[in-house]
Amino acid sequence: MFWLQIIKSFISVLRSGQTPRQIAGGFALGAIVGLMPFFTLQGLLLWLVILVLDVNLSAALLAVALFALLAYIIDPLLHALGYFLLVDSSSLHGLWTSLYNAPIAPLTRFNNTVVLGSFVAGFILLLPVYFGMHHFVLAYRTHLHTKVEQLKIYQIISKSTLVKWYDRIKNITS
Amino acid sequence: MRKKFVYFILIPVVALCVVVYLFVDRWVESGLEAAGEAIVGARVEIDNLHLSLSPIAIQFTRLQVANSKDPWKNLFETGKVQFSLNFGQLLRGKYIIETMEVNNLILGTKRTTDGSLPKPPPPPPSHTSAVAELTSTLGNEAQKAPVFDLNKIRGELKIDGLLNTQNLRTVQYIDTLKLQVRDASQQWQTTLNDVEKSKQRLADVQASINAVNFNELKTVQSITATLNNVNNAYKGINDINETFKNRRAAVTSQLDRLTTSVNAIDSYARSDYEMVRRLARVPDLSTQGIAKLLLGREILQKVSTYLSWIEFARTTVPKYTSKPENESPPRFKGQDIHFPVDRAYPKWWIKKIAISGGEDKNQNPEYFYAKGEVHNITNDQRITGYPLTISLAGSRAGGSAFTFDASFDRRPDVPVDTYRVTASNVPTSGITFGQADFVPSRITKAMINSSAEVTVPGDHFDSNIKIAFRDLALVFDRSPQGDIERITRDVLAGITGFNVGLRLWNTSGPLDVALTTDLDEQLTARTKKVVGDEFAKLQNDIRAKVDQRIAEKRAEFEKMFNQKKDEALSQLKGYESLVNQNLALLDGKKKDLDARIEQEKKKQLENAVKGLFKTP
Repeated sequence: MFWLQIIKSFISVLRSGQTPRQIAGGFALGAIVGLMPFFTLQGLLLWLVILVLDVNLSAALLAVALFALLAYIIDPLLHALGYFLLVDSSSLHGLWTSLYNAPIAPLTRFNNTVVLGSFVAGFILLLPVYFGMHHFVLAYRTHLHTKVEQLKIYQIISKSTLVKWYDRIKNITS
Repeated sequence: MRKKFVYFILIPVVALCVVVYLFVDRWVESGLEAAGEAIVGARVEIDNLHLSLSPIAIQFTRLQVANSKDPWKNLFETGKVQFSLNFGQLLRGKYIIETMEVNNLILGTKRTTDGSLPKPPPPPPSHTSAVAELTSTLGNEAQKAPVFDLNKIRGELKIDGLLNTQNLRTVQYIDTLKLQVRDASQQWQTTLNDVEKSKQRLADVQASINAVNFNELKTVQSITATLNNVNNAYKGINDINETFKNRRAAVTSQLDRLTTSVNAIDSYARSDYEMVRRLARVPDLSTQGIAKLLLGREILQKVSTYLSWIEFARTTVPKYTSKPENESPPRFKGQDIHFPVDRAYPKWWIKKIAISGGEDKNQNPEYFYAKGEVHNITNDQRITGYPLTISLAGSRAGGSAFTFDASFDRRPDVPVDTYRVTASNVPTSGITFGQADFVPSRITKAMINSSAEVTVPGDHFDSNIKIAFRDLALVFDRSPQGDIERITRDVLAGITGFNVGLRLWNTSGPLDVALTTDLDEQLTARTKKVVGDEFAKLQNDIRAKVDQRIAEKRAEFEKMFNQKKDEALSQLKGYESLVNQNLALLDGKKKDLDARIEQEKKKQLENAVKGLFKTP
């Protein structure tokens, strides 16, 4: 039900409301969070950034879900990237050793292959995802939204009893 | 900026932080108290704890740790305590304290409230350590007591009941000997019957020898034939004689063995006497036991109490922890890559605790004020590389002092604990002396100097304790009952001090306890002098009754033995005389015959010579 509401909100946002940059920003930040394992210092900081900045939360949550699923699928690649950076790149050993002995850096769990691989992959994907999403929102608003609203899946989601109940309760409490 | 987030999330979070900051002192205080109580098993109280954030430091004005064995007293209490935490390591979840300052450490202070905790359910039975086993052994050892009350011994002495023939080994031995003599006697009889048969042969020989008539022997041939007969008879008698000698040797050897066995009756009688004396519980005054009787229970019980603290330290000081902490598995496991570290730290480590005993002017003369240092309290000595060491020196007004040095080494596979304790000029009172039934008394005043060295390597244990009592005053709880008690009292009344040595150890077998004191020598010498005669009389009574009981059986046996022996010997002697008589007779006849042959030969030679010179 929660995720149906997120998707509905996201589709509504795509159509109007927040700016394409807010939506793209939330989606890009959510993508980094989704790629990384939970319970790391940088993950907490990214959540803080998402909450403080006026980016779209629905887009961020949807990105978290989508990219977590992606991370699960490409976990061996993320592990390989992290292993390459931590072990095979001898030029970086000095940096890692310094961070390992630094006070706060170990809380980021940077020395874990998946954590580092996903973090770096998330940052590499940050701009492509941002601009890709930005273009997608613009394109959606100009060309796609009428087609999407006519899709059967959208009809099902928007007319879902659960979503209606959720909307009603949300309106009462707000 | 998302205003709703600021209003509804950020501000409440900041408010929460403020609340936490305001109450964190209480929470940390409660947490530390609970942790301390879990370790000590008694109330731990911290007053006015304050946590500062820059630098991260804790200080409190007072710490009281109750004694779990005497909850109305503290193990110790302190004045102001302060320490700071290494912030860098704290961010890694490690509690590293460089120096903890402990002021005004006082031992054994009285409490105004009960320091006991609600009793937890009894722990399940577990492996008994050497120290725990030793504590149990000491309890048993303290209960042992020899009987030194002469009147009691007299009253309980029932020698006749103890002289059951079933108990006396001498009687059993004599019965066995009787059977042996009977068997031997039968063998002798068989031998003597064989000898009797030889007697007839001897008589025949004797008759044939006597029948030889020298007047009838006219020719050399007849004489030579007779001589051959005599020689054959001689040979036959010699054979009989050899057989007889062999049989006599066998009988004599058996007699010798039996005689030796009979002589052993004396040693059996002596051991019977010792056995009856022990059963009668008549003590041997050379036993070093009186002082143990007087002191043992109190000292061993006190030592048991201290041993329980050693056991507590042995089990509480953590062994190195090489296994990783239990963590929730992450969503994506990955692989942790480790890099060289400048310095590895354990989970927690107090490098040094500096303890000061306070200023003299503030000292309460009732308590010990201690100062010293404790080093390297940690959960993992293999990482720090150092054992936990404690070095304390304490004193109080009046000149009493103590030192306490201990080391708890958990780095090797077998943990090793060592303790060295000295105490000097410690006034003491109210020490129970003697036992309820033997010189019940109390040491009302004494000065004690003592030293102890204890080593606990793994499950082994070795300790040497020396205690010297000086300037002591004894109060006896009752009038003396019995001679030994009276003597002991007299001796004790005349002494002002004594030394006690106690060694408790185990190597691979059961635990041993050795208690020595110079009181023993004094008491034994005096006791021997005064009641030696009484004990000698008792002992003589026992000896006489044992001897009497044995003597009856012995006389009966010896009569039978001697009778059988005499019979056998007299028959052997008679037969020997007969054989010798025959041999002598034969010898005589043989000589006569030889002479007669010589005479005949000579006579025939003369006749032949005469025939040569005779004219035809």
